[in-house]
Amino acid sequence: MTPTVLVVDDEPDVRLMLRLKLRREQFDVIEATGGVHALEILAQTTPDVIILDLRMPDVDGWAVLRALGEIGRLAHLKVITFSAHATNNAVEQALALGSRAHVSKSRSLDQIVGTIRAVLAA
Amino acid sequence: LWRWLPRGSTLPDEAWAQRHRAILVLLWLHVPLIFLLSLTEHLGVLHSLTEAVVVAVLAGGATAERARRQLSTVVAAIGLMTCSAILVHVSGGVIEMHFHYFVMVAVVTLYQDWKPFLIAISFVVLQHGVIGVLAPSAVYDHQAAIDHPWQWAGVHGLFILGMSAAGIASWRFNESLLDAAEDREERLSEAQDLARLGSWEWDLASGLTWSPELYRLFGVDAGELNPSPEDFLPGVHPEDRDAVDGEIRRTLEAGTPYAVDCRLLLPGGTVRWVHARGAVTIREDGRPTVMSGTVQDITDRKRAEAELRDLSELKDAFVRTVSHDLRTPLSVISGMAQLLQETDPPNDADSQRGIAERIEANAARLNRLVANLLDFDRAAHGRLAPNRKPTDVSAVVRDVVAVVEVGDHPLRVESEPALASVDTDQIERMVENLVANGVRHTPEGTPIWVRVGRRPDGVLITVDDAGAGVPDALKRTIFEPYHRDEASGGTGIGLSLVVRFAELHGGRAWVEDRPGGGASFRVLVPYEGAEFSTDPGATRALGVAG
Repeated sequence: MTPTVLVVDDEPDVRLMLRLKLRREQFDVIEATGGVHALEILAQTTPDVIILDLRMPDVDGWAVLRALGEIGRLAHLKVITFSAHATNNAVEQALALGSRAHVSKSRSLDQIVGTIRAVLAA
Repeated sequence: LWRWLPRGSTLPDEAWAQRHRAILVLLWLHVPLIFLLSLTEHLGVLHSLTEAVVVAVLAGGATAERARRQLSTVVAAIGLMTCSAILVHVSGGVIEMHFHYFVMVAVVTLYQDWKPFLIAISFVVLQHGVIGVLAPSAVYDHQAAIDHPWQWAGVHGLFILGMSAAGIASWRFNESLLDAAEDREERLSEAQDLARLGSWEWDLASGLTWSPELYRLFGVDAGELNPSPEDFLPGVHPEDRDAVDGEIRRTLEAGTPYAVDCRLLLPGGTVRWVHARGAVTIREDGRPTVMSGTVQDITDRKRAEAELRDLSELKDAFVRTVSHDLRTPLSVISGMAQLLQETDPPNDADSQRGIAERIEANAARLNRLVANLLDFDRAAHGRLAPNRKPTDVSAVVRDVVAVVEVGDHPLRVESEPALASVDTDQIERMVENLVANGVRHTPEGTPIWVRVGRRPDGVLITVDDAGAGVPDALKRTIFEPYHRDEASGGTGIGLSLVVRFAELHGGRAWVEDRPGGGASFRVLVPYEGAEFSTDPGATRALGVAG
């Protein structure tokens, strides 16, 4: 069965890049352009893993993470937080909020895919 | 000679009052003394009483007129000399009684004033001469003097003068010391004023004294407050009171000096920062005796420190933002390049072209960000003077719009030929930044309109979007350098550069609400352009307020 990845990022090119890569790696990809959009999608479907950008306008990744935690969905949703440059402190905070892993945007696409596979296998 | 003579009347009122009180007591003591001595000399009760009453009248006069310093002093001096004269008289001119004059002149010298002093000396000479003629045995007890009373009056006067010289010298020294002390105090006060430094001394036995500057620091008049140890703390800001109180107590107990920064809350409600230091002198038995300290105004320093801290925080936030903004297109370029290199499965020609396009677009975005940073730096140093040439602004705008990256926002352009004297690069940069701003802050798929039109006062460039619009509260601040909505991206210098470029052309840039929803960013550039400023200060490059 093909795993589904929800990519949440306000940057169209970042989504495009991940979509191209993940499709080649045999994932199904759905995309959200922001926090509100992501929550709308999650109300209807449950992807196998979520790549969540922390820094977005309006409803950011932090808000999405908290919202999911509040409605008790993080036990079943595998969230990987994603950011251009996060401090150790921010990474710890994201993990404490229920994220399964954090990956930096400066990592190679193969490393990002590796993180997704590791989280799926856990 | 005048320089060597004392000035007189230099005694402070307090010191005068103290000495005068003692002298009046001495004068009153002479009343019973003279009465008793007269009785023992067998002068009879009535005569003895008369002699005593003369002194009592003078003593009473001096006492009654205490409030008038000059008069009271002169009456007291005459009273003292009268005592000497009466004692010599009742003793029958015994020469040893004349020593009493010397003592009294010395006492009069204590006033450190010329009038009583000269009156005292004149009294001696006149009294010896006049009485010597009328009743020689009342002042002299030897024949030579009785025969030549004035001559001997001179002799007596000469001795008095000699002893007066010694008195005057000591009086002069007192004045010099007093002057030096006053001078030192004045200089200390000036120094304290300059340093905005007040000092205090708390003798645990006698009480607390404040320097004049300390009253000024606390914002109170010297007369308004009789300082006590309890007055210090109420002047301290309530939030700092416990800390300061603790420091002072610790110093009193442990004997170690304290140094603490705290705020004073002035009567008008003003807050003043001070640096307070204090130390205590401990006696051998371990108990404190004198505590003293200084309080210095450091409000200016604290303010500068706070401004520096704010600027530093602003700089940190700016560096974080810029790094983040540069990294996003960089990671896209890097990721896309990785995709191009993959061979399994191989890229087809279409996807290769699509990926290369995205690489180019993100490189262009990086270029714009770096150009903004460079221009921002130039603006800060006043090196942004536009190179103006007659140009069709709408042609420039159309060229920019043709290449600018808008994602899937439909971009609509309306323009009419608009010739003006402008710097082409700066017009391009303004349009680029305004369009990028619109793309960034509005939902994907919503349109962006770019318009160029002629107005009576110049060429108007409009960039409209159909986003949420700009709240009134932010309509000015979004043009300030560094302003940014934390999560929305953008270095926060793009819009500040738009304003800067517009102003350099003698025009202006602002934002309005677009009828029908969204924001309408506008730039007006005069046809010929007014004088523009190259003053770096006008850029407020590092300024916080616009």
